[in-house]
Amino acid sequence: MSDASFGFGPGALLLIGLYLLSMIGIGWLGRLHRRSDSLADFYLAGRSMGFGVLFLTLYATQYSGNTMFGYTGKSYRIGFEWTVSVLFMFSIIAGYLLFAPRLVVIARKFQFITPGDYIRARFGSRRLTLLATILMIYALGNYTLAQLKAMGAAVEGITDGRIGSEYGIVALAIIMVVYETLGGMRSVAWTDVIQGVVLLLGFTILLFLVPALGGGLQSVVDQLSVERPQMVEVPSLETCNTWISFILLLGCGAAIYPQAIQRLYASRSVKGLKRSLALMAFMPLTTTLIALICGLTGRVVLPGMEGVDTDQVLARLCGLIMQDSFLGYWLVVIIIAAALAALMSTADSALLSISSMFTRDIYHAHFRPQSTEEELTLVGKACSWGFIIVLVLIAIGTEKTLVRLLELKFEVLIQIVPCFFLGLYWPRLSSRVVLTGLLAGLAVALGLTWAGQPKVWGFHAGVVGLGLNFVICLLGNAWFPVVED
Amino acid sequence: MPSSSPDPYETLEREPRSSAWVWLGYLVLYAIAIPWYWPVGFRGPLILGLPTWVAVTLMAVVALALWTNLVIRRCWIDLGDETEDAAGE
Repeated sequence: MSDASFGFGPGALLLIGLYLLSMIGIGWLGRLHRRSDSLADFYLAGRSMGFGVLFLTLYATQYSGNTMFGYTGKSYRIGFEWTVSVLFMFSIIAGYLLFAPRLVVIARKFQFITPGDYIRARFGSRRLTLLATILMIYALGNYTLAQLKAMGAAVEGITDGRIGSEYGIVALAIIMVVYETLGGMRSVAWTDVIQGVVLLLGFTILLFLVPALGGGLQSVVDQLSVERPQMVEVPSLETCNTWISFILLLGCGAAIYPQAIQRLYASRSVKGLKRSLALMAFMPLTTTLIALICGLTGRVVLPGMEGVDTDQVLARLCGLIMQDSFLGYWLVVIIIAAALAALMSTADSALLSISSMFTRDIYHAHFRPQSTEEELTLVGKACSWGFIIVLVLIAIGTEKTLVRLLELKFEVLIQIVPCFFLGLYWPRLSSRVVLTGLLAGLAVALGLTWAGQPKVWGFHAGVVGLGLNFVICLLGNAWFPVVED
Repeated sequence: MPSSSPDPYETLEREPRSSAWVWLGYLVLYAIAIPWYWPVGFRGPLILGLPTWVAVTLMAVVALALWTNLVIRRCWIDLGDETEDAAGE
């Protein structure tokens, strides 16, 4: 982003700095409101989230830096074909309906804290729980990496290169991990409330300012129709297969994100959860649709960007807006604050989930079963610091585009889907069958990706693997069911 | 959660997954949202600044969101916890 033609002055940087530091203040408030040193209090905010907090934390967590930077870059590259992003982000909510009603009931009954708690209780298998946990940690680590990378790019952009991306990554990661370890989920959810509101405000501003740069949406589409007609034409049938694949990939994969599942666990009432999910169903129209429009406008206003650089199109559009007027300058300050909010709210939730799964499903389950809740909470906090240090070091060296990072994590994560989508409904489904399906699906997904076949007839390798995974579970459930005592 | 334990879902009076018409509705709306049925290279006149096929897809997404709200309201009934929280965290 160093070539982005904008940089904030001291006033704007001070405001953003204060905004970021206020997150630590909210983290401290979260700590003051803790009720005990238990894992449920630290990782699930004492299962006390009402509708307002739950909705905003789901929103801020689900819509990430990928939405702002990766999705605008993708629509810059492929045009209206990326309308699929609106559809697949909606599909996450439809995905919840396939398992959340039952999971919420047993999570409350058996006091689950992590997704691994459910897998352990349902299947009684240490091997399956451990493997699923490792895969979830890998997927979330990948997700957090993408957020960290985008944080660095954002900081480098707003300071016009005066602060390198590596320093931005380190500074924002420290702020994030400090407020997270202060109050756990309570702090993360409360910061998500602020970040969610800022994010909504930022996208609203983008909708009004960005298309105007290209003379309005109609003018942008007319210009694209002449200069790049393939970007406005209906996609091919093979691309429609990719749409279906994206719907399955996100509808299944993002619905079982550990941090999303833990928010289901943390809801105070089913009614509050239902209201939150009902409202979330409309949010792609206020978020991913706007990212799509911004990317298309960028293609007309800022032609000639290629590859990884296209993920910077939003930042460069902001540069144009702020040069336009004094008001535009300050509106861009809000947009950038929204971008940082999107990145941090997603990364902090992922990091908290990683910490909970490592502590509960690996450390406690395999190394120190006799440890107390206080000890586990302490280990969880240390784990957050350990993981963030490793991820920051990796982030400074990664070069892939944000969307590619996103896809690779789903290839792995969705192989766990049968544990939830089938395990909750098929009582005779055994752990051995699920484990076999998981390994087979994983082998196909990774094998195809590494063999240079990330898609087959338009379907992502992970979705092909999930297909095999489901078939194995279906046949295994019929031929090798659990034998009752 | 051993399989021999009493039904843990006894409070769940209704759930979306068990209603066939819920998924039939989703199938129809997804079939409209995915633009497989337009002629190759089609753009169509602009509707609110968007190509026709994009406008149809987005209208289908709105319909999907409305459908989801109906499904959540009518088909997800948990008698164990229907009390609303007046003030959450």
